[in-house]
Amino acid sequence: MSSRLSPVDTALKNLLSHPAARAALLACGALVLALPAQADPTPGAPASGGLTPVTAAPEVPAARSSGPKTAAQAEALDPILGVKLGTSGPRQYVHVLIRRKERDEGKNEFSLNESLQVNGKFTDQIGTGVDWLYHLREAFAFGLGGTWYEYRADSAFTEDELVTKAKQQPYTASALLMNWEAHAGFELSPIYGKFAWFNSGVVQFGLYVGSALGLASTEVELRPADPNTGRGRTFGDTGFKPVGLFDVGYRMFFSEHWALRAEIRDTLFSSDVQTINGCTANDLQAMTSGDTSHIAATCNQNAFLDKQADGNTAHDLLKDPSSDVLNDFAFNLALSFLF
Amino acid sequence: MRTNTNARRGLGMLLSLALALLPSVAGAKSLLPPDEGFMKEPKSVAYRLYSLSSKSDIGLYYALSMKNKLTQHNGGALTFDQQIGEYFAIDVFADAGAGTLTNLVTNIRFEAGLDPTNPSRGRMTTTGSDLADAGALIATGQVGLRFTPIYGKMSLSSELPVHFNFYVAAGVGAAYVQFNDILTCQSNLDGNNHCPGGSSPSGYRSQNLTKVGFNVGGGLRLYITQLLSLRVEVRDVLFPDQYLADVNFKSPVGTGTVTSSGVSQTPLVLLGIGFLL
Repeated sequence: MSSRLSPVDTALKNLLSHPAARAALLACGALVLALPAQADPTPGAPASGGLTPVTAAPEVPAARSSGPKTAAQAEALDPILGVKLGTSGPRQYVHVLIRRKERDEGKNEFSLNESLQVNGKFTDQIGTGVDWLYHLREAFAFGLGGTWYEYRADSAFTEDELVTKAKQQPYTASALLMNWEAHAGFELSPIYGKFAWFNSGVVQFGLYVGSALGLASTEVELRPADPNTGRGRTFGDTGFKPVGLFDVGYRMFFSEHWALRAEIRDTLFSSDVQTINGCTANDLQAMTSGDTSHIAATCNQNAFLDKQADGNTAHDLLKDPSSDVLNDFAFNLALSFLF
Repeated sequence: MRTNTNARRGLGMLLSLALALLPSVAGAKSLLPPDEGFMKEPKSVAYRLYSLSSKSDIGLYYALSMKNKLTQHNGGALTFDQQIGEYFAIDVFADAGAGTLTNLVTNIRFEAGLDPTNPSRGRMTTTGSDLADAGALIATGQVGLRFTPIYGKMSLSSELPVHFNFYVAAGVGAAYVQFNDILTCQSNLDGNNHCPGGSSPSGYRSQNLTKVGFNVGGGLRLYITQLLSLRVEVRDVLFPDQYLADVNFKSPVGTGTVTSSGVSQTPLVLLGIGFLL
């Protein structure tokens, strides 16, 4: 049976009839078949079926492979991060840190905190405070708070060294104490993370910064305690001062509702002192000299435990006008409840 | 021929099945990416990129003192730590710098009338004790232990995690301290009860001594690369205090007894870089 071939078919037939042309075609076929095997990126990986073991896997794996890599290339380090590039080559793994499953957004947070002044040169203060925060967004909250300072006194350095040995005392404005403060402010928490204590568990945390404005009731220590008579320290009221608060803190979440906060809080206020217990220096001079007719009505004489001794000290403190901007740095440790 | 082909096909299927089942038998958990909190709470921080085990850790720091009252310290510090396993390390801590008096001392001397530039007569005419806690740390070298129980990572707004360690350390060694007399003049007071030469620090007595020293502290290591890290540490350096008691401030030459009571603290903040080798 004869068949009619097209000119192209005839040409191919004539070409393939040559032994060298046949050999070349076979070599090309073998090469094409061999190429996929060489392109296998994971030496030692199962040929088919099963799961691919995750060894140095990223939390979000790379989307593509950039071709075959030698062992040396796989061991190569990233010039910036210093981590192994792996078989994915120069394409970087995006190592995303997943947020904790509980969200703060829309939650209220009540905190009970203990505050310890850490930079007290002339004064020492320990307080107990309450804060309320509303987390409007995951990383933004606003709220109210306040601290009552149950212990407030001149420092041991002031009482035992300056007063007792050097017969000196700090300027009033540099040694103001806070009775209490109340504030309103906001908080930003742009950084979150987690850490492991050994390998026993994971603690989620957030770093935050906050700022607030408020008001503080202040006083000054007049005389240290006298152990011989059993008299405690005496104080004089120096009025209300506007305060600014700045804090940097660390919130560790132990469950959906409970967290522990550790923060450094700077309470900043201007301490220009003109009166003690409402009395000016002239009022105090009149009070200690017994000239009650020249004492202003605003001067609360009864607030002095000992009009003579405390009045003299208060007069000494006011006769040299002083002003200062105080930074009371405190370490706060708080237990928070979120709901 | 056909039988041969079928046998090979059957063998291939069996091998594939074995490969598929093998991981689940050997521990399927290792083959799946660990969950980070959405499905169940993880037991540990996943994908730790950095390890301290058996490494040497060198830290170079700028050191400055906190809570300065009468003295202050500014200098440089060096730490060398040889890790024993992942958590513990032998810790060598060295610090050296300028241990100086603060401006408060200048004010105290001026207010006491010791400074001749004060027009008032001096008030230090009695017998008493000089101020405590006036030892300025110049240098210290200590050996101790470092404990690194915490490994974590935190995410900046870019979502890229920064890996970190938190550690605590304590050690013992020597502290080289300048003990300063704040109110005790080098020579007897003049007719106005001023200290001759009392406007300069050299007008007052001081003594450099080596004492036993301790340190306790903690720090944070923020990894930049496998080799480099940012380091922030707080170390409280403690040494026995020393000051003069029973000094005749008006005629101090030959008077006073050295009193050692209490411990002086110099809390240092260290900011620097670390090298993990």
